Amino acid sequence: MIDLTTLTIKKAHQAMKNGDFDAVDLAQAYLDEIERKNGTIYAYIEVYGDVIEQAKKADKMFKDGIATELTGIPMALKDNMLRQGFTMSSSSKILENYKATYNGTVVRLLEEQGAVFLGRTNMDEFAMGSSTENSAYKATKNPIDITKVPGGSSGGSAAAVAMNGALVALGSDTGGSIRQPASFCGLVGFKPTYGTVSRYGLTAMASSLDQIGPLAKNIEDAEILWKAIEKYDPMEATSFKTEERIFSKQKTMKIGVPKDWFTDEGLDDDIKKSFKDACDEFEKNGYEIMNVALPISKHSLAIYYIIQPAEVSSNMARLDGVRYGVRKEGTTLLDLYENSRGEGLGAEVRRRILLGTFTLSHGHYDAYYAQAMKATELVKEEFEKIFTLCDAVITPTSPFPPFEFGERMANPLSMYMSDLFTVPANIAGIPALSVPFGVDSKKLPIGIQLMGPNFSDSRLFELGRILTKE
Amino acid sequence: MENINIPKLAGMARIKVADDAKIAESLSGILSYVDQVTSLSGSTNPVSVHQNTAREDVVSPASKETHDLLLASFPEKEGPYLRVPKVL
Repeated sequence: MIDLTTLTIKKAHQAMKNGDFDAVDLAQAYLDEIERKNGTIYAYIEVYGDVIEQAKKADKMFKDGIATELTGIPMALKDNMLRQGFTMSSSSKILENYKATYNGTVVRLLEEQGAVFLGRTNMDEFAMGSSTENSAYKATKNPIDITKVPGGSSGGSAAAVAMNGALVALGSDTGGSIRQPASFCGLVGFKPTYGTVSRYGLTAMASSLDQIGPLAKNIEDAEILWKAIEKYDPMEATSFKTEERIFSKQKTMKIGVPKDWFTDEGLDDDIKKSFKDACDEFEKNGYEIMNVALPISKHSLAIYYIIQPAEVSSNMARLDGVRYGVRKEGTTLLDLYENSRGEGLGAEVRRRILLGTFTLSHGHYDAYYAQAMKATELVKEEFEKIFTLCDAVITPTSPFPPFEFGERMANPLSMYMSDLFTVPANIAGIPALSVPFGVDSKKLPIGIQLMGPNFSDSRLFELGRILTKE
Repeated sequence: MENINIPKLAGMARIKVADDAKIAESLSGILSYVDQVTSLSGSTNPVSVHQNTAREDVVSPASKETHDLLLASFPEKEGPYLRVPKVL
């Protein structure tokens, strides 16, 4: 029996190297666990049919002496990443039977190392949501307490790792979609610096904000997975070249607390306590906790709900029922567009398309979109200034703990509030890490977020280790 | 907040929507929230404008596998051609 609860990438790699078990044994152990739990949790929409075949290839790599640390490591892919020949639905009806025509760059890089993809995980449709309840199929349950949501939009990836149904997983984060579910499921979740992990083969939601990253049980695993995918890619228009990814800032031994951000919407008491404990932990380790002023960034969620729907409305235009996806006939071409999109897309996706169409329309563009783009620059400038004073900015990951199903579905704004603390990093483009730190009175996990300057990704892992005590 | 004309908006977005009143209400709620952005001001001195970098525009043939997958994803086809309703 392989103990999946305490397994790490390094332990699994060592065991396969020593011959304690092989990649097929390991893949089978995960498949068995998925078989036991997925019916209740619904982390996976689909378990791939070629898992054992992939594991056999990994075993051959070990035999041939070309195995790397990720060879044979079983992992989950969010259902918005392309794997050639396999279905990728973005948890939408409109792409229910869509088969990827090429491999996304992250998939290619991991496949080259012999990683084993177990399946595609459930998500909010086209990554729009914070609870996985917007999936066109079924909501995913939180493995820690199945009466609660796992967070979202990468809720399936988080649940897969938390239920021991994958060693690690990939998610995508546009406004908090890796970090918030990681926080809700007691995991480490990381959004890398924008432009450092290729988006080629990731279904675009809001292109200027989307970023792929890892979800894992500990920082070590998250860092190994991140290192494997953090590569320059000429197929991605915003990919930073290797030589541009330089971070050489001297440590200040200071951690900033953005006092301005805490006045909005009430912060849960247990989260407040964990946050204070986290700050104390840094002080115990020789860091000074200082208040920092980020008054413009406080409005990031509002900026986000202009920019993101605007980009959504243009990115979703391709889903028209003509070349791929579900087609609903009509008498004219216009009917075909309207019917396919009306029936194929869910309520939240339609809402954001309409919102974006409104803010980009004649007479509203300057007041909304142009103003939000200007504000984005102010946010970037503000963070850059703050990072001359401190190494990282610390906040809770979510203002509230995992919530009940249906609790925030009626009022979209109450759902959007999930991303209050995570969205600023997407607007600024900076890296941000969520680590599990403490639990609330109901034993539900709490996440603490660390944000750093561009390309300080490795340093964030180093700082995160103070909280995870790795 | 001005009234949002949902049928007009839905027409521009090429989406059929049924519950106009409900959508208008939720959009108004979000628009009043994002309104705080209109009052933000400060010197804009772009710090890190991240430009898109385009690749050379070179035609490279797709693999047979890609080609077959593309054809297979057509909702309707006639031979190797994509079938669409009459445009004009």
